[in-house]
Amino acid sequence: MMDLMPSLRRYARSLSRSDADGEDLLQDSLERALVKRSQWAGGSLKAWAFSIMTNLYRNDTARATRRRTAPLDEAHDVPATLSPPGDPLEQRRLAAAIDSLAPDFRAVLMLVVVESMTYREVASLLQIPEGTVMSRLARARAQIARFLEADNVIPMRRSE
Amino acid sequence: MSDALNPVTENDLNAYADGQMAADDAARVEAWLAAHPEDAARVAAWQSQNAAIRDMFAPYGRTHPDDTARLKTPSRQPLINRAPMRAAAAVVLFALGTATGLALPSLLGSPATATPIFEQASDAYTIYAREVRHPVEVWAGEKDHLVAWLGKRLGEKIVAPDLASAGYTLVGGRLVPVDGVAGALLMYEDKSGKRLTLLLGRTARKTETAFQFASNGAVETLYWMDNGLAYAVSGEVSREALRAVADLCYRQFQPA
Repeated sequence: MMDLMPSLRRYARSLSRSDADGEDLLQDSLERALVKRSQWAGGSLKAWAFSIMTNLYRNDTARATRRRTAPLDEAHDVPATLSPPGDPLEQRRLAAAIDSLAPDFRAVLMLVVVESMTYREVASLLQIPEGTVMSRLARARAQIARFLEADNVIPMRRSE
Repeated sequence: MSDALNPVTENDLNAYADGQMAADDAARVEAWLAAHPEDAARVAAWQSQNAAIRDMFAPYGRTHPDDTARLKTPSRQPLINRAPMRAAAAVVLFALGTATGLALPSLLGSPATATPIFEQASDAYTIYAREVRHPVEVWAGEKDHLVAWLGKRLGEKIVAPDLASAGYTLVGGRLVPVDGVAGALLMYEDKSGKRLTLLLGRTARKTETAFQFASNGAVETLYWMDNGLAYAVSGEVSREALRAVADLCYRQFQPA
């Protein structure tokens, strides 16, 4: 279990909106796992621990009631330019876009992207068909793209 | 092979971007991408987004000194005892950040921790712009004093931009916390009494960013960072109006 701590901590954080929420989710998941340790039916300890955490995250409505930023809509008359990568506001916007995802979509995205799991591993962990994993992933990305609509960004200019 | 017989689906594009495709399927997608630059651009964007997301959470993939203890006993401690643990975690994270030289720009926090500037700005607008009798601490009549005082607390020379060409005049200003340190809130209003606020806060780095919009209910905010300060203009006005005001502010905060 100790070997799993880094990835569990990272996964908990990737599902949460703040460091404190991430540590809470980690703590709750560890407690649940320790209480239910007798129910571990062998097999992958990692998959078992990850599914406990995923279920806690999805069921915890309290965590989801935090305020959300309203989705950005288009500003039509504005030229679109992308900011350079590493721009801190861009990173903050990406984090906000991720926070706008529904829990099921966020979990799939993080398992694939951050935890480097295959679609098949994610499907068996979440007990859903592989096709559902793929469609959730596609929808998560579409949602992020909508949120990041480049039209919401205006380049700076001091002179006319 | 014709596209119609074996079309590349949205799922295929995602799987390709994630590197989760068998070699011959990947070759089929590559052929498609070569002929469809828009899809190729989307795939490239997903890939760089994957990298950005990984970077965002990679620093959390660590053990903490108290992990061993946490795994030993099913802790039945009440919630209240968790605060020290959380504080300890914060200390560790802070130390990690220091050790790895991970400079966190204070206004943005680690990507999702701090309240972002646009939320602080719309909150300040919501609270103060609706005040009838006490919207500001120092009124525009003492403008020179106001600007000198706020600039001193902010540690950065500021001006109260002249927004007359957009129809707004200065009401005054107040000291507000922005991300835990002293920030400044300037308030303006037009002839009808419609108000706008300009929030100023310090940033950790001298970054320059583009203007970005955010909405919070009816309150629109346009924010940017420039030369050590973060700026956010908020109001219940159109984005076009906000943009005109932001433009005026931006020009009047010329670096010395």
